[in-house]
Amino acid sequence: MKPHPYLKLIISISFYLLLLKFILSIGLYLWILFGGRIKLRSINFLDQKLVEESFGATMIISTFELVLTGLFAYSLYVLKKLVEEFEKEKLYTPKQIAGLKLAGSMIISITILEWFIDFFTRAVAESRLSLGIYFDNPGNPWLLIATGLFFIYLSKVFKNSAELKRDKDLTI
Amino acid sequence: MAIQINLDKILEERGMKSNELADIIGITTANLSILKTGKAKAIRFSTLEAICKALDCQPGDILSHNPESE
Repeated sequence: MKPHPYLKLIISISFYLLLLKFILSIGLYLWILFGGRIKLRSINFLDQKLVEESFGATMIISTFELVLTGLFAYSLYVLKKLVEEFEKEKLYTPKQIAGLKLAGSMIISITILEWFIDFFTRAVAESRLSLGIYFDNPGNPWLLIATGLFFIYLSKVFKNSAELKRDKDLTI
Repeated sequence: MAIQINLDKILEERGMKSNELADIIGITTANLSILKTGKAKAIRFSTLEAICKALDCQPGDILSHNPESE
């Protein structure tokens, strides 16, 4: 049962774009580290402007960006490998079970980390701790966590199916 | 597993080889080997029936229960 051809294409495009962003982020990070200055976009949505933050704040925000982009790229790499594993037309392999579990865990971790980073960035950049956690779309992070949990559940289903398949193969 | 397969003994008594039995009952020698070595998780009634027919024996001659080997 081959996966939809667009699935691998979309995951691959996303992966390579994120990989490019990750490489650029490393370059930017090194540039800031060695004295380069950048202006960050203000998070005040009523008055969008470019502001120059302190070196420390810029470094923290850049580190967050780098870590998050790296994790995103890695999770897409895991999904890419998973789709490639499905393409082999052999189901319930240990690689697929481990891949589904890892993909689910990565999605949940990234979503939680993104919450934290979003909150911390606001606190560092403009000392607006009182704003608390803000979401562009309040349902979105929960949907992502649900997706991650679904992947983990799917991994358990695959593990159970693998055992059933083994039993079936050993029925003479 | 406490269930033991005594196929080797019956085959020896009947003077039949494993591959001959596999051919008669229509399973692969690899599967027959899985059955003989006790690695099988289950046996179909149809397979058991075919073995009994080929070896002219009862299911109890092929399968035995040994609680000590659990």
